[in-house]
Amino acid sequence: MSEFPLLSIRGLGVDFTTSRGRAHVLRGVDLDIARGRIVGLVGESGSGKSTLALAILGLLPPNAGSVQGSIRFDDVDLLNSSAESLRSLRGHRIAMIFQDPMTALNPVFTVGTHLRDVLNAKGSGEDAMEHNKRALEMLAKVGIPDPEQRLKAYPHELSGGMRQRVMIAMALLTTPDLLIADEPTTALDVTIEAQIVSLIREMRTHVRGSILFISHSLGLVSELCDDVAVMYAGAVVEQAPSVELFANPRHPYTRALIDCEIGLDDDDGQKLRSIPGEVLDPLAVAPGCTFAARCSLAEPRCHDQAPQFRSVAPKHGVACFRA
Amino acid sequence: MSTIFSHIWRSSTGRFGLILAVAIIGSAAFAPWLAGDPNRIDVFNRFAGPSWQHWMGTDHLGRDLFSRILHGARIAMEVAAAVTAIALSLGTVLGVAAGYGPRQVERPILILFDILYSFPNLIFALALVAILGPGLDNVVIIVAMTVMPHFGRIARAQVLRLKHAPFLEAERVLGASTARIVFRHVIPNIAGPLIVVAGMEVPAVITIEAGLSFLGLGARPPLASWGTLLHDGYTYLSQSGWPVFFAGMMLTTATLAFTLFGEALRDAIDPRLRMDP
Amino acid sequence: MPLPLVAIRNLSVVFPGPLRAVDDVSLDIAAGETLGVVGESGSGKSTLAKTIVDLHRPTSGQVMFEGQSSQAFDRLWFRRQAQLVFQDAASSLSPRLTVRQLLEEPLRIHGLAIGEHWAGVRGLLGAIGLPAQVLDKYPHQVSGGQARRIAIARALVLKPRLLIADEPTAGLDVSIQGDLLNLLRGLQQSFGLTYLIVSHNLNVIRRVTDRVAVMYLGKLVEIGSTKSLFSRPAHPYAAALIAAGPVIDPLRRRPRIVLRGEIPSPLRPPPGCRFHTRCHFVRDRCRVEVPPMARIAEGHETACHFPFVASSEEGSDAAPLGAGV
Repeated sequence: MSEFPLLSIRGLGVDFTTSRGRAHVLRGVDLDIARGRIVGLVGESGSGKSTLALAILGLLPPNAGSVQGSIRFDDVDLLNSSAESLRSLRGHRIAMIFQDPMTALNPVFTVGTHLRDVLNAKGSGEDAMEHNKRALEMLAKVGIPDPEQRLKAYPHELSGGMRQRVMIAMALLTTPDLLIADEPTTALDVTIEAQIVSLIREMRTHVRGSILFISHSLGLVSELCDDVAVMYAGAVVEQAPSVELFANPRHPYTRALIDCEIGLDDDDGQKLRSIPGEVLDPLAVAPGCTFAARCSLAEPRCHDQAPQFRSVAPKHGVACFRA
Repeated sequence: MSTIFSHIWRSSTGRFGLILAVAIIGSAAFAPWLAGDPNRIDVFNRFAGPSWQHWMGTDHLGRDLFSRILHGARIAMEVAAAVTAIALSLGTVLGVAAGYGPRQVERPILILFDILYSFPNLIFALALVAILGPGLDNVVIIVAMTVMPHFGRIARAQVLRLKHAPFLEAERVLGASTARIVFRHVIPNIAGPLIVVAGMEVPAVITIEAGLSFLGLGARPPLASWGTLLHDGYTYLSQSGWPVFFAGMMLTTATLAFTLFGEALRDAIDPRLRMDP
Repeated sequence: MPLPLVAIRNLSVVFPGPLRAVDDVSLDIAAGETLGVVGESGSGKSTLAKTIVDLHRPTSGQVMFEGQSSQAFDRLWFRRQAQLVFQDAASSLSPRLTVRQLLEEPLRIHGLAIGEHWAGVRGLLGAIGLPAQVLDKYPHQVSGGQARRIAIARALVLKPRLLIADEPTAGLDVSIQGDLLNLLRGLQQSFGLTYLIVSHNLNVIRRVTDRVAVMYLGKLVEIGSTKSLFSRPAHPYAAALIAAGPVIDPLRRRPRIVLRGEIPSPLRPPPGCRFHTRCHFVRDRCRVEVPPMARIAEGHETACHFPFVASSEEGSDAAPLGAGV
């Protein structure tokens, strides 16, 4: 990697205080997001993907007890920034698209108000007319028909796909350096998902920044992303360029996950694959590899020694002794 | 069950209400053993103040106030229990019928609820006493009628919330009859909020009963109800303030106790306020 | 030709609105087969499933079970023939009953002696992979995967012949979805079940079904054997749906067909072919005339005026698959 990455996360650990005890939601995440790349973050439920996104945004809930490690965004140390500077960062340089746009859109404000608010917050010094014009252009750009009409619409009057387009328009208006998209298509129908994915792909031509695309779908990530990071039980276990990762997966978990996907030419008689066992309980303390209990290649040291994240090929990192 | 109890116990007001309510119910239940005959007249000892012999003094006929107040608690608790039981069961039946049944059943029930609801409680009760005549049995029926729509409406709202729940559809697919679905699957799942309402209605019922008895429309002399005690006390207020003081105290304490307990019960059962399963 | 286990004839289900959730659908389910139903929101696939088990009444048309209308049957007898596993399995379990009570419930409803049949239920638990400890738990105390298995076990207690599974893998992680599908397949073999599997996941449907029905806005638009429908979809919607599923292997990626526009509201379906507002190959006729189901190959039918067909005279001028990329 010639230049230093846009976002660099090292040893990020986040614990939550719950009624059952201390939950280790992130257990030392290492992740780099290079400039101008779409980075896919895949993992199953409970792997900590969404918590990671919130940590980057500085929006961890109050019951997040201890936070360790570092998150560097460009030259800013995010974990040691004031709430004020984080807020300004979120309005200007980092934007987020959620799985459910209704949680991020205020039901009593029109689409136009939402878009103009983004521009106001940016404080570009333009007047209201100019803001309106830019909001209209952006709605057209994200493929919303009749943008003039939609500007006056309330969130509940739009379909799920349209709301997601509005979210994307809001995110693009901030011209962020980093756009975080947390499962933006999970709630959508397949044909609408295809539309949103092709929109995100097109966006690359308009945005020079990077995108962190969080998803549980390997297929989606492989089609859309330049780089892929695989998360398991609160840690990134493997990261590589997309083509490399899917052609040459090194971590046993990544391989098992790819095997579980139903292939195009699977034989009908064949049994479908699955990963035996259960995801490590967040409350558990794991001295060794978090995947060891389910891993078919595990050897004694995997259970009591944590494998370090290391480079196995150019730009290909993996946290496994056996890789 | 034990989680609900421990939840109530953990809140200081809930614990206070629970202890007081248990004390009142206990003293009502054991009144005949705790105190003497409430109706023994002792004309030489009228309007006595508190003493070792008469802890709360005596009334205008020299009857022991402590005993009368404990027996009054008995009446208050009996009326509250009877009213809540009738209103709860009738309200649940009608509410479930309105919520689960067809429109032809729902409409008349809702109209009935609206009619019963639209009258102010006491005035409605007065009107009914005029028709049915005074007496404790009638008070029970009357008060039950005035609070019943409250239960009915809650029951209906809960049923409407559940009506299309997948677990009810799943039972239908298995072949369960409507009666089975209602009794085995609907009612147990709406019981929580109804019990909460019952808890909250008890202090109101106690007050209405006392009010009607005060007006001479409920418990009839010589029966010792807090309402009649208050009434007699007011009549002879110039001779002694003790009867009004103790009867009023008791009424206030009981209302407060059951209100605090009812609120704690609501906090314990209402899932919106509950923290952990 | 043997009598189909289920025959659906001109079935329409209209909800107040009016919302034509299912509109004039006819199809057969043969005994022992696995039929998949795919479609997006508003397609009516769940309504179809619920109508087959008599949770919704047909507005017109009928559902016939072994040649007789389902509504003519004795209710309890019919319930022993067809069962449904709900999409949201956890909330399909009555919350105040223990798992044991939940499993006894079907026996009680049908007046079957629990002592006599409980051994069979225990055997079923073993086959489904539920540990005995789960019996004394309440639904909120079991995991999502276990809730799904309990719902399946409950449906099978009555030994039905048809089992309908509504989105059996929705919300499951890929790492465990295979287990569930293997289980369904194993149960089919050991109990001789006929399956109707409703899903929006085309990978799952392609993998586990023998035949597939594609629905769009309440209409059946294509039905055929899974092999033939996935390799040669005839309806532009079916083709787009198949092409929309993301594929990991870059060498195996199909050309994408990104459909324009939104799925119209089922309250105001477009006239003519319901799909014409989003179809890349729409012509004037599509806007006015509702296309009927027509046979395009052995056991493969579609409702399109201009289907993709390799070698028919009418289809020769139709646009080739994937031309809309």
